[in-house]
Amino acid sequence: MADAEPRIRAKGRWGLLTATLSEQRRNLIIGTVIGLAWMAGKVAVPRLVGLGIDRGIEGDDNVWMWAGFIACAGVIVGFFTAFRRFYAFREARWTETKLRERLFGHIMSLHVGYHDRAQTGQLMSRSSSDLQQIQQFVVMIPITASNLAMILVVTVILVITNPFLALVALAPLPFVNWAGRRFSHSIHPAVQAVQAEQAELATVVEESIGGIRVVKGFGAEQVQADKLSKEADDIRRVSIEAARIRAKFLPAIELLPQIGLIAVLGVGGIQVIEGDLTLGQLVQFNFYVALLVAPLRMLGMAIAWGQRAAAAIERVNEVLDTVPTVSDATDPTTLPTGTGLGAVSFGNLDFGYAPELPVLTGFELELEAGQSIALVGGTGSGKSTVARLLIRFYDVDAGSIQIDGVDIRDLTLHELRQAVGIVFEDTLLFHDSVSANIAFAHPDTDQATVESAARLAGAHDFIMGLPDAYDTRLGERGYSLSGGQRQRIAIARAILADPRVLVLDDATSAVDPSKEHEIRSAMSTVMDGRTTIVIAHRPGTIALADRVALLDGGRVAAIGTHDELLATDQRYRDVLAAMDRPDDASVPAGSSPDGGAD
Amino acid sequence: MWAMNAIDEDDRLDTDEARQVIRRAARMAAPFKRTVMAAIGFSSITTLGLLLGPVIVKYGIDSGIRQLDRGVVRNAVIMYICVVAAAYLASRQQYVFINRAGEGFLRLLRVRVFGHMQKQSLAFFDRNKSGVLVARMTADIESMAELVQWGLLQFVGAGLLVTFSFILLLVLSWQLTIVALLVFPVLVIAARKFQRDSNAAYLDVREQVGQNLSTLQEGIAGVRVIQAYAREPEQVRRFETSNRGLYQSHIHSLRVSTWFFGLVEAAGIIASALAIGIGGWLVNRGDVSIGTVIAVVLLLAQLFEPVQQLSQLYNTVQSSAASLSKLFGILDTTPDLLDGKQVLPAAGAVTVAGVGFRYPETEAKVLDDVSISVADGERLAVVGSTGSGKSTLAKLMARLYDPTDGTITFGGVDLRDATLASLRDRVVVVPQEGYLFGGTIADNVRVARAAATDAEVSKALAAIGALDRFEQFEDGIHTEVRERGSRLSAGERQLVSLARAALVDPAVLVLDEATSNLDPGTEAVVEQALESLMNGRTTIVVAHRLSTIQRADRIAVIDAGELVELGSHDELLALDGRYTKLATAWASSQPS
Repeated sequence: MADAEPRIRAKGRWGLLTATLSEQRRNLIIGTVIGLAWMAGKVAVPRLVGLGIDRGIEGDDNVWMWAGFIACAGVIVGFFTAFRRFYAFREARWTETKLRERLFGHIMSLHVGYHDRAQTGQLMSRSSSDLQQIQQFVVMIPITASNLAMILVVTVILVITNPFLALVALAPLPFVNWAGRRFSHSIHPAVQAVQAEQAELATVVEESIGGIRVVKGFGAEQVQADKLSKEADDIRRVSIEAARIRAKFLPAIELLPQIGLIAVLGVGGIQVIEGDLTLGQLVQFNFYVALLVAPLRMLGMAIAWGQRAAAAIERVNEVLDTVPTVSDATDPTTLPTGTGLGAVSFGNLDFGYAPELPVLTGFELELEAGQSIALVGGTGSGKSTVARLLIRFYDVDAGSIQIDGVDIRDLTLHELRQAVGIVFEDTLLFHDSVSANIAFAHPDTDQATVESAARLAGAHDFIMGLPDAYDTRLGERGYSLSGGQRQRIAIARAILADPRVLVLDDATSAVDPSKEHEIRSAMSTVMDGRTTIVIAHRPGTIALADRVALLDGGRVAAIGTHDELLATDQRYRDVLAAMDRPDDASVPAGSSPDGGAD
Repeated sequence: MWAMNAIDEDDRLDTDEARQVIRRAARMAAPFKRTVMAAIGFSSITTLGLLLGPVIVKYGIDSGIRQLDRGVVRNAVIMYICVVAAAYLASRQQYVFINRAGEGFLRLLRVRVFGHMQKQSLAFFDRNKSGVLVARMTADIESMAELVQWGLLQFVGAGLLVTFSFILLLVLSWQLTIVALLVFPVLVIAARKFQRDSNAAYLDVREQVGQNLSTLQEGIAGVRVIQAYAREPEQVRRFETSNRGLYQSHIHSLRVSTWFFGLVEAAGIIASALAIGIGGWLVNRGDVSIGTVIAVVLLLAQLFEPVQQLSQLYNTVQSSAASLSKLFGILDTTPDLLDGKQVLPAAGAVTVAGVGFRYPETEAKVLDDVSISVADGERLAVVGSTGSGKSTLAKLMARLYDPTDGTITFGGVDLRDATLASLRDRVVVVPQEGYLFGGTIADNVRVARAAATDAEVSKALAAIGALDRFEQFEDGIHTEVRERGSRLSAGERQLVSLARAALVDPAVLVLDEATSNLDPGTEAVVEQALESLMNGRTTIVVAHRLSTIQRADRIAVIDAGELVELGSHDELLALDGRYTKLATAWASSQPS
């Protein structure tokens, strides 16, 4: 897995970004050079306009020559404006794209224990909105560089032309920046207030729609409508409050530069009368002041975006800095090959999801090749945990698990997980065709093999009845199957993987009891001659296995056939009775980390 | 635009549709007409203020500087200050007024859409995913906020700026106006092309974003399966493909749009060049003053930015129109459960006669020709396997849906002819899970009757034997239940739900028995509460438990939408039919 991810260890907060950006050094430099060319063109225009007025209109030069120069500068500026934008955005998108791939690769390599704690939504926003913020900041890098250069060059030109007028004209401009910062500062709480009110309205909407049966059943529509109307009023109130803040600052930010222009007219006008300044220079000043407004505003934004990007980078780093705790052996061995293999031995295991809560203590179990065993136990007995340890979703705290005499930690994860197949309780299907879902383990498998796996799993018939048969797309956005159908596809997926050890983790729990027998026959086909661990609640499913191990207190409390245990063991009868209430067809899924101790 | 609801939504509106949507929105905004007019008025003052600057500069140059008159320069400065101050004040007001109108409109939209949504029958909520409906009320409406806050103003401001600029140009010098007329149309044509291309590219980017997000989500949600099958490299490759697709669509969007920004810049500067060229020639001929040329150059410098802003605004307008059109779609859905005129009698039998039911837009009948009469005070259990139609039958009896065929009557009155208010008083459905809203326990009981006093709420809780339990809480029945009632246990939530029914004190109770079990402690309390609630009432219970079934007067067995057996427990066992089979299935899955 580690090979999918280039190792650039980030140093410090910005390390990740600088490392990524240094890969794009060349294009960033080109972008900056283009930005400087743009700047030169922009700065030339007011000077040319000033000269055009002084020498072309007022003087004896041909005015069309100066007009021509200005037009040329216009073409150059236009050209580089487009290029500057293109380069800046392209590089920023590339940074975002690369970072997202790194992040995804890393997320895929992180151990299951990490995923138990992390929420999908959080990882999603790391990979989307956080990277988006970083992208916005990266766009600003070359743009800000040329903006800064422009501010500097224009200031120098103005000071050289006429220091006093420069001072008067530029004096209001820092206030644009200052007002911008004041504005961000005061609008922030107002925007948060709006968001908070929007969230409250969303709660009312979610509640009303989620509880629509209650609302309808009691005719409580008006009650909910009143609640909503109150929230809508609140949103309006705080939004108008926020608008007042905008009304205070935005016009000021927009009009402040006008004060510079007034100063140029007043002070510069007198200077022209006194002969210290030409009319062209006056206009030139006017243009330069106007030219500085946009870069100054952008500078304020760049600072704000930089701050947001810094926070985003920190969050992204947190994920990337997490080292997978379950990883390949440094010097991996391989499993023996041949026939009659698949013996599994659990030797004296200790394990707990948290140190203070042991789930397994001194767990011992031997499975001969080709033998099947059902693990039975109450909630929290650790039966699902055994399966998860076998495919190294977690590593044991003490003891060892061996397959055909090899400690599973001495194998590569890839080899181990090819050797052990698991059918989960909650069947996850991907947004892909039925065939691709079945051929998940070996995407290059031919169609005939896919179909024979589906037949063995008892899935072929209903698949042929789907709109596009094997090409029907499944998953969240695809065709929705019933619990039993999904389960059979998952079994077909395991059959096609052809593992030497198979784990069926509560594979029938989502299935209507009246349909369970259909899956049972699929299960017994796969189990035939294969080492299988069955985790089950229902007697019919348990009976499929050669032997039954009763788990209690983190170890095997009794072992034997279903009938033997029924006849001899009171605890076994109690556990079955507790688990199998007649109407309790669907026990809520226990796949969450906290419920995972099952 | 990274919101999850971006996935799968069609945001493409053609021009006609967009126009219709905007026209309809304008009609809906009619109450805010005066406020909008005020905003436009202030916006005009602001724009005019901005444009007067160059004119004042002209005055200062021609009458002051050229005439070496310091007094005029001073006057020009004072005028300029006054104009800017007026523009500032007007600009503040335009923000206030447009937001007042805009937020008022959004408020109206929220209230109306929600009200209309709630008028729909359950079939509407079955048809539309709840996430989508929530998105309509939140993300779709919120997406318009940007437009309200500054977009509309920019739109109006830019339009005014262009109009006023041309008027001023004409006043200053008709010859120099030609300069603007030479450049402006080129820009307008370019802007239209930009809009078309960039909007198509923008929608494409949105689609790719959605696709990439779902690939991402699938990978993260499916990480256990992926790792179990050691398929990480394939998944990473799969993600890379979609991620690169997104990158390419970003680049495409950049490519079709970026030239426009260059063009606007170039056009502005070239216009200045033309103004200086033509202006210089006119000055030499003595047709215009130098001040006029400078004023025109300054005016032209302001003229081209709005074009760029407007073009960028287009995407925002487009997606707001798409949001609006979806919201109007909801407003256009006619509620299919209409109020009747007759008040239901206080008591009577519930009679189902020849009832068939098909969910809208589906072929298969869920129920077919079912007839049962439940006598006043009788307790009927409805049983059957998953998907047999038993829950649908119960819902029809409470008129959560209307039957496709046949009639359901209470005390001889067809439920469709009854007023909804009297219907909800006589017949109450208690759903499987106790669903709680935000607020206190009392608030939650009061969902059944908003006007109920605290005493009545307490009485209802006492009637089902739950009052003592809740009064032990620190704030008693005024305890906040927190989000989705997380403060309460599942059993307690169920008790609140039953208390609602007790508050209404209906003649008929329709129960959908919970499939999942409660903790043993509360289970007994809930069962007792149920028992006291059912006492003396006509009860129709969709049953899952043998104990409930055995306590019923009669049992209706539904299979594949048909009533196959009806009778008491013993009678049905004697038949040795469907019921016997179901009963044996329950027994066999029980340990021996």
